[in-house]
Amino acid sequence: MAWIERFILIASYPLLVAARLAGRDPLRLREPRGSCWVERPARPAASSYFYGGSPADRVPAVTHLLMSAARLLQRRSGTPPGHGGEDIPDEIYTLW
Amino acid sequence: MSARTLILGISAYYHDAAAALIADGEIIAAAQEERFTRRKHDARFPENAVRYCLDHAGATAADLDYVAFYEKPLAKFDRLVATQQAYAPASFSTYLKVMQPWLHAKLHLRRELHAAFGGKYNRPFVYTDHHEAHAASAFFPSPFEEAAILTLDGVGEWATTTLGHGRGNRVELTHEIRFPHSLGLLYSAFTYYTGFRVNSGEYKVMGLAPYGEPRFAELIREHLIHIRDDGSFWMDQSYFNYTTGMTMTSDKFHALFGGPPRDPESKLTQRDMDLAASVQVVCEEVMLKCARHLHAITGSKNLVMAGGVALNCVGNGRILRDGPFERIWIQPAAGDAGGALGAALMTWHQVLSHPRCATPHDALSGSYLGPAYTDSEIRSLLNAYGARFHAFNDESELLSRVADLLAEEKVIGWLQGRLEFGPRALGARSILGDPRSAKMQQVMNLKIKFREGFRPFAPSVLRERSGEYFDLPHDHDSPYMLLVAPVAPAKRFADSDARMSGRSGIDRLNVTRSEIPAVTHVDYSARIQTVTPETNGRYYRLIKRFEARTGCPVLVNTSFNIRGEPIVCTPADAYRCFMGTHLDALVLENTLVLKDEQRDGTRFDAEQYKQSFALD
Repeated sequence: MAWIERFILIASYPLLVAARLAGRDPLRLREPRGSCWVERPARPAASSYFYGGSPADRVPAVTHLLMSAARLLQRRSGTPPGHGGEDIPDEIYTLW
Repeated sequence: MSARTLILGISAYYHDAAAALIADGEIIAAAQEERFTRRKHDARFPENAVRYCLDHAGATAADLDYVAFYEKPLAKFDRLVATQQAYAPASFSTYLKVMQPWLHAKLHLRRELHAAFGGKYNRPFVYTDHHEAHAASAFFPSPFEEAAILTLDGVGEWATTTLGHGRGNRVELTHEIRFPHSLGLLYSAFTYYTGFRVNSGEYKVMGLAPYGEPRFAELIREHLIHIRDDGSFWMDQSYFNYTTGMTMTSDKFHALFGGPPRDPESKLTQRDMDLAASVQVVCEEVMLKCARHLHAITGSKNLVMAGGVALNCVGNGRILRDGPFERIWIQPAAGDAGGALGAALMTWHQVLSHPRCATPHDALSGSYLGPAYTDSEIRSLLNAYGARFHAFNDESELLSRVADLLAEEKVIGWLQGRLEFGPRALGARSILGDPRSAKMQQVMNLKIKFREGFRPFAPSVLRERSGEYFDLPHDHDSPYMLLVAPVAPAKRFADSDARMSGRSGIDRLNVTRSEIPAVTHVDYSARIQTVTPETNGRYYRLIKRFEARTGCPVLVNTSFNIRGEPIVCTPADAYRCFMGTHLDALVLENTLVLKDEQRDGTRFDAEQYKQSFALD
């Protein structure tokens, strides 16, 4: 991993720790009492299927910050495209 | 340039990359990248599959009106960050690893896609939700005007299971269960724990289950997954390691089940079989409860399914047998490959609002959507290999000869027509045998497929006689081999239970249990393909000829490949597999090749051939 990538990842990690302390439980690690079904939002508009038009594209601030850093890094370093993650077992890689 | 609206669907970068092309909503081509690259579950951008689809339509990338990708990368990235956040600071080392592919490629998907098309495609990219793509792949090609929709897999963006409803040209998913609570990942955890490879060994766990007793099922329900009556569930993540680590299961899981995961390729024990039986029982319970709840909220008589868990044909059979739906249709490419097709159909019907007309069978043409080859291509190839072969001008003569060979217990490689889309061989790229033969299962597993001896084989049966041989509820069709049902009692041997008593595990395989032992699993179940002349005329006529010769309207049908190898695509792939295994004969369209007629120097070394594919 390039040092600049490593730097961005290490520097951003405290934000994740801080966000955790805010107490959200998006993974539902605490068992809910009743049904575990989550209602999905109403049928999305056609525009949501195009880049940037989806509510799903409007991500939380921490995610947004990391995305911006990744794009900046890509522009500045001109790193040739490569997928990385070769040392991640297939069963885990496919989750992420 | 085509006057029709061309939409290319793509799935890639995780597993089973694929491309599918629709023209004015009609499905005209679809294929998985692995079939071309010969690398199983190839996840790379499907450049060969894309090229094939475009060539088939006589189009280029510049002619495409839309390219649809089967998921929303930003939503997926959000899940990654949320997960690492939830486990901070313990997630630090995982965070460093899993972020790399995102920084390098996945966050730049538009750029990656543009580059993959060589800059020749300059129109919009459409991004569908992963489970919407599954839902679309299940509903839009189905024969139903309206249906309930159930999708189940490992994970997409956030969802792992969804419920919904389709009507006309619309699908709407209303409820979901979110990562990390996932029936697919629970099954994969046991796949890993029993020593099989995740993302391909799940079939093996399902095939192993009938040898075991579900003695761990209660332990699973009590500790791992808490199942509600409405089919929803919650999983205790302390037993799993996939959110923060590099393995599926945690030490706590291993302690609960009494030891570490089985070493791959080590001897299977009764405990492994019992674990497989247990997770299968739990999986079926969740599938059935989901189906009942879905029926209650939609009131539909029809169900369509997709997602990797929908390839669990034992669970599907259970829904058909014990569930509330009258008719079920399952997308044959139910895994991620089918997402390519779903994304394209979603774009046509839902994004562009084009109407849809359900067709009586379905809109998938038997799933024969891949490339086909001509006799002249085949004969040129065989000549180049120095092969001796018989060319037939009359199909009837060819089929008679093949039926005779099958009746003599010969095992035949069979390539005809367009390649199947999806993981099942359906009579276009199949290895065929006589189901009446008591030795056929062992021969096919060990000498031809080079795979584990416990694995069952599936029957292809003439649709009109399927009811005599199998107990498919409601006289249901199973054209895509995605439903398991019992062999009819009349075809079972009355004394087989007695002969099986006292035997355990794989030893029970040695008892001949029915008139068609090669396709009767130890619990009398069979994974059925019903064959009709409308969907696969030549294959139907072959079985018909075998029936005329033997009285039996059933053939053993297994995929044309060996362990670890993708299903053969081209005649050259088929010829290599034929020469590298103990197959007796090879049929390539109208050409028959017999092994014992080949010169010694032309045969391949079986061991070498086997080693050219990584074990799955």
